[in-house]
Amino acid sequence: MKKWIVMLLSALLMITPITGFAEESAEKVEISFSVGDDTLQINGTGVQVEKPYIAGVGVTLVPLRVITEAFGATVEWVAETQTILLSYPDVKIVLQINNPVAEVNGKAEALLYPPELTANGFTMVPLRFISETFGATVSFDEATSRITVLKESVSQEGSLVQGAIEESRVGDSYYKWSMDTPVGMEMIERSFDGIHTAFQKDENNTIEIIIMPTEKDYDFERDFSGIKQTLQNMTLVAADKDTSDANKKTMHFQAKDKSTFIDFWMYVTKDFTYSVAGSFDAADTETRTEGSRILKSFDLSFTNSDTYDLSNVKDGYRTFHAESMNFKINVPRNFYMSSSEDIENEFTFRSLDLDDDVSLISVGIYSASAVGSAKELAEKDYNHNKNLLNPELATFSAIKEQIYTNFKSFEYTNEIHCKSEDSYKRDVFFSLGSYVYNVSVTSKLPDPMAASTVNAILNSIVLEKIDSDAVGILMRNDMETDGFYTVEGTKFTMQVPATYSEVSNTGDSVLLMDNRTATLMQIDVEYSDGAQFKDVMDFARSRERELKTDKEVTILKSTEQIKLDDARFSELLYVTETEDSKSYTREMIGMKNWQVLFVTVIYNELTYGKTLLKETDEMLKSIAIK
Amino acid sequence: MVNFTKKCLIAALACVLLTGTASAASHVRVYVNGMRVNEDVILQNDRTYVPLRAVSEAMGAQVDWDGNTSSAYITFSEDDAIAQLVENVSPSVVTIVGNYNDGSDSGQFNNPTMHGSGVIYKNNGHIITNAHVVKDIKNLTVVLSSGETYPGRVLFSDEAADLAIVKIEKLGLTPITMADPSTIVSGKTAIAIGTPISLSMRNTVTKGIISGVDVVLPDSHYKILQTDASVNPGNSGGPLLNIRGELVGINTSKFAGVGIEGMCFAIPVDTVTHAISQFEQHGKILRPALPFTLQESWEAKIGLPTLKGLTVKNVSGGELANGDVITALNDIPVHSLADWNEAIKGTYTGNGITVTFTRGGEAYVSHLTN
Repeated sequence: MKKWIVMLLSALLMITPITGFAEESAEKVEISFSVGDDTLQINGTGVQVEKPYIAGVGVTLVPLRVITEAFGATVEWVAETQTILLSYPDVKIVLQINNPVAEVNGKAEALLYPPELTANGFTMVPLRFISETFGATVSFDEATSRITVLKESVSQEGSLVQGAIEESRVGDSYYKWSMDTPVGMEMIERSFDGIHTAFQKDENNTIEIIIMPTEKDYDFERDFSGIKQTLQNMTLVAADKDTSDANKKTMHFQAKDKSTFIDFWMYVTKDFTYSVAGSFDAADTETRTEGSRILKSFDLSFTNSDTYDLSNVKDGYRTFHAESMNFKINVPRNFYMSSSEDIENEFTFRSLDLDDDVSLISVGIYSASAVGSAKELAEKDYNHNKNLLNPELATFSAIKEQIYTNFKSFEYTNEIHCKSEDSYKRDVFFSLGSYVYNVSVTSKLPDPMAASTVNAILNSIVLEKIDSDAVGILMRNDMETDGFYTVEGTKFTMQVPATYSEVSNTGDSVLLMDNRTATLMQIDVEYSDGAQFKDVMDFARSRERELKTDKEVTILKSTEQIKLDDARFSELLYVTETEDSKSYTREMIGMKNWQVLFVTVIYNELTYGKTLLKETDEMLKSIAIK
Repeated sequence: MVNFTKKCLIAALACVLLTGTASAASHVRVYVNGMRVNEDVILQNDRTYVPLRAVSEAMGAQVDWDGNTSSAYITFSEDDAIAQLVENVSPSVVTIVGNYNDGSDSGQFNNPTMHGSGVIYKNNGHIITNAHVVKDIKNLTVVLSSGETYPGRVLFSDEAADLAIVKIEKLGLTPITMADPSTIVSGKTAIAIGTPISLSMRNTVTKGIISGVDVVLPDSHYKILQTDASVNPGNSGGPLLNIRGELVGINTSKFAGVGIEGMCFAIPVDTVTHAISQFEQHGKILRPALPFTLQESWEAKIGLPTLKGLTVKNVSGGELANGDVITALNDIPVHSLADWNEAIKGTYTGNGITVTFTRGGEAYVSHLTN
């Protein structure tokens, strides 16, 4: 009995919970020390403890106090069974002296080395096991032999999974339209410029919204009849129009056949025409009814309340992002994308303003191995344009260097004034990695984009190196002279650049057109039988007199004799001008081996320049009589 | 003071007398399938007496007590074992959900979601799953069997092995126990837990057998397990377990043949533990960077056993030449690309490889650095 009382007393005395510190799980925990230290850095303070040591296969054991001081865990000691109960928010660890199996929230987990008592009675526990279970990471720096246990304050970073939009309406704040959200339909198309939006439940059930600028001479009534006519092959269910509001004319059609039900609305305002079309499976009444309801809910207004805004316009610009090219550029909000979205490396944007078919932003990305450096490409383009264009109509600045937010460029500007075009262009060239970028901004004169706007566009460009392994070679489709081919007449041949096509060839009469510039060249061949060059000049002069009577014609250079290699030609130069167009014509008559060649070349005014004149001369020089 | 002590003493004595036996039995712990049975256990005459109902029910058995006859009836079947296993293991199986929008305007509007499964392998929130489940995922969310959701982040990912590690900020979770690879043989029961097809089927269970081990498929980097436990998209990343509830593989629906019934695949546990240890030690799975590519024989390509080796091609440096045939890596015979990958998995430590190869009829051994 005495033995019992002694045992009981000792048991009683030992069952005293040692409460730890209050739970501070949200705080950062840091333990740092080298093996052999007896003062450990715990949460910024040096704490002297029983020395930690390494046991077994490299398991670091630390005194229990390190755990309680660092993590603020609660400890309970059960002397009879030599069990340690560690409590921490969400985790309870049960350890037992010399037992290599621990319990975490009741689940047995194997330890690499069990807890043990030192000779002087200190409880040593495995540092890594407990620290990791409490959410810390343990690292060992080989260079300094320092062990660091680190737990950053717990922050639930990251957001949870999201579903489709929750707003009851969807719309565009720039084009000012909104519609009930087509629940049950997925958005399958939303063009960069916001012009085309499409939803679909499946391929038989779709809703499409297309926005286009309204033509100046748009005839509402005619269009209404026209659409009615196209629906001839279906049963018309509804055909209404409302022109009471001149600024918002509406038409509405519903038509069906055995498989399809069409519900079509069109809204015409001064600036834009909105076409809202639904196509549904005729057999699916539920989808069709709901679809028609959604279409009817379309409105030319946009309010921020409970409406998901599809518009990507920010501060007057849309940001265009070519992902595969790691390229971003801001484009003014009234521009649309005129290039195909399928082309990877070339993009063009034009103004929505129907009066303006000149304003243009164009982007091209090419491999430096194909086009040279930015400077070389700038010089090449500069020289090409300078020689191609009529120097009286096109003026060029010099090439200069410029600095923009994210790149340095070589650039030049040019101004064009002619019947078909009045424009001002800034042509910018820069490079990054193995690719060269050519961005040009063209404005319509006399009211061009402000320099600040052009600068804003160019400064908005954000580029990152393109992975050349993934993207490969990008060449520019130049339509440069790709060599020559032989045009065959009955009595002659001529070497012609590949950019010219044969429009017609009767043997004695050939008509060629340059695909790049629409320059026309007509050659007629006649057998001379004794004619002299003097006769040629007489004929040419009489032709000149005839032309002088034409009101639209102005003689630029009177008939005179020129020499092309060994051949002599008469040459007459004149301008033909109408209200909308102006062209330069070169009439030449020459003789070669008793064949008389009548050559007429018509150049459009803008490209009447060095390049084409030289090309014509070379072609004529190459004429060989069979 | 004296009175207080006396009262305590008396109370304590009463406790001792009531239990009536010779030793404090509370130091004996009983675990059933790794979970502690929290009832008192009695040691008498060197025999351990456990509370009948607690232990039986922990095993999944049914205990009926007839008070009139003082009889206990324990009924137990494999079925019960499996049901209990599922109950025990389910807390270790999670569903991984996220958004896969491509950033385009339609992507942001539709916000499509996709999901897979995962297994908790460390109690502090580390989860293993397939790499293809978490590739390009946004707003990764982990749903525990209890229904609690936590945002998660991808710590590591290896597409060749098709394994990835996801971490959530939650402590005290129930980790899975890894099976001993040598116990994985054809014919043994295999149980898949996961979330196939729809999120309403969270943590549902299918059962089959291990149909084959060391199976090779054209797009499997390592050797894999074949099972007929039904694995569908959504099960990917979830566990394949043996009848003891231990992890034998990670289900991968990626390899499911179109229209092939009853044939599903899992990444075996030894590849999983290799990946985890490589991620922890090096941040990725180490593989040597080789200045050549390897081509296996046509027999190996179609899966016929062969003694032919791997032909060296596209040499861009180093000692080997095009046409050399490698027959062993680090002394392990290799007859297929899967053999090669397995040999690397088993022996590569980052310090080069030793290849045995034949050239012009002669055998050579060479150590390649890297």
